[in-house]
Amino acid sequence: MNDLKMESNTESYCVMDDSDDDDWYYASISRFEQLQMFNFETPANHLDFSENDRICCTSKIRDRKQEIQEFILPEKVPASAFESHDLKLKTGGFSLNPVHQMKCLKGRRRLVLSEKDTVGASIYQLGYENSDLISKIDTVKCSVEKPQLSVYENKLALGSSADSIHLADLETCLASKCSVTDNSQEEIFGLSFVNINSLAYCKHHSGQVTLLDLRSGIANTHALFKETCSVADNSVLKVWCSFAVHSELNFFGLASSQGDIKVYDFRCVRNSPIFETKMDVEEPHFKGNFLQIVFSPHDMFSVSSSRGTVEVFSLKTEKMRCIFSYDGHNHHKLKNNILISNHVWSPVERNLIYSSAIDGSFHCWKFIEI
Amino acid sequence: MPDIKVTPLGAGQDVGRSCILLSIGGKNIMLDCGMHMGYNDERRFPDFTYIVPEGPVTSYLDCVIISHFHLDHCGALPFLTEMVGYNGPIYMTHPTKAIAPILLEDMRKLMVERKGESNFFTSQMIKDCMKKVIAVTLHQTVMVDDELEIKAYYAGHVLGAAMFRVRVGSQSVVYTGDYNMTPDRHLGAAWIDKCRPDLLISESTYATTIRDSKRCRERDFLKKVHECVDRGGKVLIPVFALGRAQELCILLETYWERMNLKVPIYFAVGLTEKATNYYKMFITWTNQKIRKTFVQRNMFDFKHIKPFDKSYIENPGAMVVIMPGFCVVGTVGHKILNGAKKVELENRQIVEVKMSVEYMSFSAHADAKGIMQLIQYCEPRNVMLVHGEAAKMQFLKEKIKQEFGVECYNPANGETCVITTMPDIPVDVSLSLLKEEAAIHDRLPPDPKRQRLIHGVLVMKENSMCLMDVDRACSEAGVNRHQIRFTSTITLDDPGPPSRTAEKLQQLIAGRLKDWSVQLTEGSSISVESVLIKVETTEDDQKNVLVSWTNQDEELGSYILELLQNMGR
Repeated sequence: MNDLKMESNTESYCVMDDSDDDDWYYASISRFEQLQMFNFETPANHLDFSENDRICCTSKIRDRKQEIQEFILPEKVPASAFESHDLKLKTGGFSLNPVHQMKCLKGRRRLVLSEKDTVGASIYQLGYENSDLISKIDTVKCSVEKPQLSVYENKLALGSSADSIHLADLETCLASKCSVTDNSQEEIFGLSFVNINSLAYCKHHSGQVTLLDLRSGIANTHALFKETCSVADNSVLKVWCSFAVHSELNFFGLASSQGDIKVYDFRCVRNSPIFETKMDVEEPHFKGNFLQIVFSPHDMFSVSSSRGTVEVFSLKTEKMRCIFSYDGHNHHKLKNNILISNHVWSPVERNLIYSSAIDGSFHCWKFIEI
Repeated sequence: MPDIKVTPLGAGQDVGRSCILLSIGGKNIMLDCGMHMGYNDERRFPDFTYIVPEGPVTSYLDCVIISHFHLDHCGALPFLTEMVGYNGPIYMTHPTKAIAPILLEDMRKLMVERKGESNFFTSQMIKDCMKKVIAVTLHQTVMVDDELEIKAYYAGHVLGAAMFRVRVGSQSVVYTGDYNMTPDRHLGAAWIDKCRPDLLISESTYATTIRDSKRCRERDFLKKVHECVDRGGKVLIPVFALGRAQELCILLETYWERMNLKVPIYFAVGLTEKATNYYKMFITWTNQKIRKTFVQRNMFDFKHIKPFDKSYIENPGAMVVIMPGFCVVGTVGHKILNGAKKVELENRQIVEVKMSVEYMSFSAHADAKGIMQLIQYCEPRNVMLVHGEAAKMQFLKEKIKQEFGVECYNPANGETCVITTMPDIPVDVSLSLLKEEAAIHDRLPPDPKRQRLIHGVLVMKENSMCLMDVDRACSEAGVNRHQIRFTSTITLDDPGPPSRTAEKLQQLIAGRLKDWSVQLTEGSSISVESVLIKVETTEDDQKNVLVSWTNQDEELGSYILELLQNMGR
């Protein structure tokens, strides 16, 4: 009798439609130290930190126009009971062309954009006390169209192929072409400074990783994989779609559209990878192109999957494996196929990741290791 | 008077209270009359001398509108009516009228009895003030006088909160007060129709915030409560009674049930009983889902939550206590939130604060996305954001302009912002005039860029305007139609009969005016529309060419005259 009474009581409390979600949220209490979920009007595609506690996002608004917004991230105000849960918009602006890449000059109130249908790169100023507008102040002139970007202190590297790598000084905005030993015109991606004197990049189809010494111009290319353009059983082209570098540990990582994940050490590339795994890629296979590998500032890396999750891996020698899987963007049973467009690790706090998805959601989550 | 003037009262960068003066179509309206909770002196009330330095304020203000019962929107109302002497109409929704006096009285008690304020309004003043209030229903058009009209719309936010549309003639303004665009557990989302006001006034305070999802805030709350009771601790939750307390109860009850927790939850009854009654009374103001539950059972009977008794404080072990009330400036709660480690209680006893303190905000406010949504709903011609610093609003202004093509203003407190509007004046056009123009237009080759011109007389009858043709206008006005003719004479040296001269002239003119019909008529005359050209012989055997035309054909007539004057040069 008492049991029946209990049941009827519970039923009438299901006032909200999304009470189906309750279980996920209750479970999240022990899975996350911190969890915030936001909804942007238009999905954010590029993310980068302009300060340790501020993030810049770009999103497409209308036609070709893009909106750039700088937010202060949620934080606890010290010595008081007030915790900030919200994103505070601090500065904002517009770019006229679709953004190909965005890199912030952390701490210097500037960012660099590489835009579609433009050559070179644009420098934007983030707002100051007298204005909260983000506006273009300068151009880095060079003939590379839609270049890849990488920033290291005062230097900017730009290039879209091995033979078009340029270096620019961010104070003067003057760029000069690097003379390099590799003159291939194949498209490159993942251009990154490994340290002040070396750049690394990868080629889409072959998966060839090149370490370029900027002083001598010598490009050391490692053909890591025997297959170049591999065609899988159902005739889907395999491309290497993500490349990232962990400068402190001297590691680099690759992800392919078929789900191959490989991490190597620059100093001993000829050996087998330090870590490798294969992730399932869901149909349709183009979803594999959403696989993005990102290194944490410490000893972890993460990969966004074709199922809209972020898989976190540990690089500690004693436990190289997946230590967490974030399903926040897709946890509701009515939502699926929400792919992650970008994700970044907090530069200061361990285990804290910010991820944006194609449905406009933007989540801040600090996971507790399994 | 096409201008609309708006002045947010207040000083500097104050965001503590809302009180906005609106001047529209010759009417003056006060939007909200809030009290600033941060000040202890006269700065807490708006500076009403701004309205009229001396003399009665009633003659200046046509009405006062209050958006909802929060004190930063209605706290200064009794001061305005009973101490400054405003006697005119005051409008608010029914729930606001019922609940505002409760809050005003609580606040008054705090100020006078606890803090020893002397120059404050009395209990009786609050009652007298509320007697002057006219309650309005949602979507009901209320005529304040025969020109000024107001209408309330659902704003969400708190029980009874409304957005108001103020209209005088063809000009209108929408004031949002506080609103929210996402429904929460007990209130729906704000809604307004496509009323296309000349101006939308909204708070800028939240325009640059993107709110964390409700579920995540609730998760955080539950996490903190659970962690504390797990350690065997006690959790005290002071919560503003109306609305939020019930929400928290539902939240805790559901969680406790699901996680099978046995720790007792208590609820300190008091202010809430009244609140419950108001919720039952104003059921139509709540969320659709709440309504469903009410029909089935009383939503305020809980399984895990029991009434609190003071003696329970001594009980050992974990417990959760929900205490309705508020932590405004001056209360112990407020001091503790701001980090006080020692507080003085009512009985002068000083106690140490050894507990950890957290502040959680569940309040429903609009954010950046919400403002854009609201603009999309009502399509205003101009937007105004009050209580914001100019330097921090440039991006939002730019965004609104780009997205909607409308100007966004942000006046500083105490600054008057003038919006020039283009009022629409409807004019009826007579059917025959339209048909006539259409006939001419159709004859000409199609050209979408050509301006279409109608000649008519604008007649104002009673309060409407009408465009009609000259003859009808004359007959309606009882006036005879006058024709004006211009005549000029040119002397030519052209021997021969006048008819020959006329022929030559006709050919010349016809050659130049290919689109027009240039007729040679008897008596050595030429006619083009209403232009008449008559050739006569003079005594000296010269020719006099008389060129005459009516007012309507001024252009044509002047052209022909000039043509003839400059012949052969």
